[in-house]
Amino acid sequence: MQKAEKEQSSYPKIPPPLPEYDISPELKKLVIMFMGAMLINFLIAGSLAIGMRIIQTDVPIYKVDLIPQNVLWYALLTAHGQVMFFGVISANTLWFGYYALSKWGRKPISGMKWAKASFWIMEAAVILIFIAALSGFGAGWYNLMPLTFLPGTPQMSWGMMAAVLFLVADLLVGIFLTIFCLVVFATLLRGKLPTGTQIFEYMHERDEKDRKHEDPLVIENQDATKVEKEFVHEENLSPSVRWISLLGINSWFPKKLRDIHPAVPIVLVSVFVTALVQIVGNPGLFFQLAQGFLSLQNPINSANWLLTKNAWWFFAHPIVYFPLLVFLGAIYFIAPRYGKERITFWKWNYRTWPFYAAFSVLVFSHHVFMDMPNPAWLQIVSQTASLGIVWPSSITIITILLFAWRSKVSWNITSRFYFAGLAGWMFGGFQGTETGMWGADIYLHNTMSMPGHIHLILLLGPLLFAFAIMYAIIPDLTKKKMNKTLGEIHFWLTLFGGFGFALLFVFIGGQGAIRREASMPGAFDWAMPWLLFFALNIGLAQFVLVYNFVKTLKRKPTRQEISEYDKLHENPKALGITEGAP
Amino acid sequence: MNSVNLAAEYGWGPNHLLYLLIIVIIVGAAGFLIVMLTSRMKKQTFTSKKKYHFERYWAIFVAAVLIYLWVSSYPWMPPVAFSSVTSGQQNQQQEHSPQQQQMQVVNITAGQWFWLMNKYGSHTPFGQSPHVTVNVGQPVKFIARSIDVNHGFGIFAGPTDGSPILLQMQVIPGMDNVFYYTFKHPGIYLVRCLEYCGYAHPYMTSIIQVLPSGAGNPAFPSTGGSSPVVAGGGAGVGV
Repeated sequence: MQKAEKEQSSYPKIPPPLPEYDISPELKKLVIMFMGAMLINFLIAGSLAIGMRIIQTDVPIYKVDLIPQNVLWYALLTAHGQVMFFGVISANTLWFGYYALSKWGRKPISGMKWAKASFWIMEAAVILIFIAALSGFGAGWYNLMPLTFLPGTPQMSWGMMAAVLFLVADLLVGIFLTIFCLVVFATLLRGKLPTGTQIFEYMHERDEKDRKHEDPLVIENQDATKVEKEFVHEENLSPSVRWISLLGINSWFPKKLRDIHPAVPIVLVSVFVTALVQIVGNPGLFFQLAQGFLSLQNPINSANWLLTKNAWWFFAHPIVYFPLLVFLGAIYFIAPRYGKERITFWKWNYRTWPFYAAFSVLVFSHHVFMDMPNPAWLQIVSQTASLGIVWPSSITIITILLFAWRSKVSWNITSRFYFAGLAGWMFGGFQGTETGMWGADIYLHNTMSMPGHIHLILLLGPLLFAFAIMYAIIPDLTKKKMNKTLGEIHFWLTLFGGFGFALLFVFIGGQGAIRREASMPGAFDWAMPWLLFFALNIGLAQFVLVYNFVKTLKRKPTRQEISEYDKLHENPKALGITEGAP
Repeated sequence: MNSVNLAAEYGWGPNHLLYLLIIVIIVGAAGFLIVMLTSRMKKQTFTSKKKYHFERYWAIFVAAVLIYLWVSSYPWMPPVAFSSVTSGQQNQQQEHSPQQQQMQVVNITAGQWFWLMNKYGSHTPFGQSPHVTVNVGQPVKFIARSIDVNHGFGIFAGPTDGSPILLQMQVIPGMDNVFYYTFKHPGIYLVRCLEYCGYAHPYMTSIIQVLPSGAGNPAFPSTGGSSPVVAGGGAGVGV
């Protein structure tokens, strides 16, 4: 115990400013299991990516005796993409989603058994994906049919059994995603929810002259000499009010209505919108899989492959927002807190969410801009939505930056990761704006700009957000803090490797480098060693994180850590949090 | 004869898009850095920041930029870009109009892992040539069909890798996939498959020769000669 106390460098400097509600030990264990599985999946899928980088650094284009190496490369590509999407970044959404439902919802989640089942189904899907890859399956993570069944020379690439295994894996993916969405709905659409109103944005007024606010409700409840108070009580909202609150629509009401109408915590809004968007998109996956199973015997003539492709992307664009949106809610909560502000119900935090909900689904067709037989009206709607979703995204970024502006931000690992994640997401968004225009996509589609965009948006967006939240909530889950020095190493290596990797992808894509080329053209040979270098940096960083995580779990908490944890959960007034309606 | 003009002809080609992106990323990164550095300055309260209504004006500004981008990009949308040459086709009475007679039609067959291209009216029997020759300045109608999986028909702005993309479209099995384009300069243009279609996908290449105006329409030299054809991929792999 004494040795641990000497070795442990404290992080964060102040306790994470989380709600005082203590989630159940069962849920804590599930969250830790998800984190651990996510890290293992990340290491394995990341190793596959490094294998891809190694192959591309050496392979010249014209050596046909390297065709077996091509088969390997495409199998690595397929497994890497699927496991990263469904075993890593989606897993992050699941652990934080379940955690946030209970923590900010101040109640146990509905369907704990189903939540546990979603974990095992997720891992089963990941294992099947790996087995399919070991069998040579390499149709790409996006499983563009009918390539799944027509690999060309099956004896050299993959057979029908590998294809069936992969389809079953994706079926399990659809099931665990659906379970998560249903658990969210069951928790949020029933029973009481914590609510406040946006009048309490005034509660944090303090100007230089220490003038008291004139509103009588504010005066009645404000204690200008003490820490800010968070006025939260719980209500069993009517269905219409509940939906309006959970979608953030009430933030667009006129000021008088906004002051009266209850708002729920922003994190619950983000979890709800995430689940809503994904449950709408999931039928696309099931349709694509059904087409696949029906086409096993006659893959050439048995399906409308354009419709199947559209269905896949109807699922697969929501899936890229699935890992992102919950963490945007968390950042809205955590950013002002680390800036020494306690803005609970600021209207601009909420105003973006109806647009996220709508546009996340409508943008899907920009993935098939180059499919000319698609109806023009669909593509025009998609371009409109693709540009449209830039609007709420830009508001989110500016709101977070304004929280940080002259706010005496505590620059610890959490705040640094979320800030870096915001930058990565923003850079990817700039690029997404270009590719979201139909005519511009002609030059960018299927180039290395696309993996660059994906890695900016997902590796350097939600994944960094997830790391930020991990460091912040590990003390709440385990009564222990992660090692600060190892956290610093993890941060800087991830930042350097991640941005170097992704931005180089974007650059060579703009130069005409094509994606999904096992044998990269010679004109881009110069970039391959650099990509390998950056990828190794990212990989090394994650080994540091895993070591830190395991070391933290295995050691016993120090007396100071236990004391801080108990103080947070037994004495809510220590953080100025009160219950009861004003 | 009207010409098909894509985004590049309006100044929004791949190089322009890349340079614009680099500039915007640099500006964005600088903005982040400035915000981070202000954390060392004297604290400004939430209320005093709120009074500038910055988010409101930012929302209006961004909406205006996005509307400008949408309107600017309207002429580059493929159906709009194609309309300069396709509008005459809608009237059946003009089937043999001068515009129709000047339209070059190229039929493309894609398969694992080859391209076969044939220009309507040429002497080459259908589906037997991996290459095709067209004339500069006259619209070309590409009709691509796949006999197996999805492919991506992509033409690059030069004969070798490292050239930016000129145009592309997906080739979906079971459908006619159509793209119109007018080549502005004579030369050799590389054709690559842009949609992963199996392990030999990287070798699925071909070329298009664009002749100067008034050069007639000679058959493409079958021996290759001194043309900078991409070696090893012209006729495909595994046919």
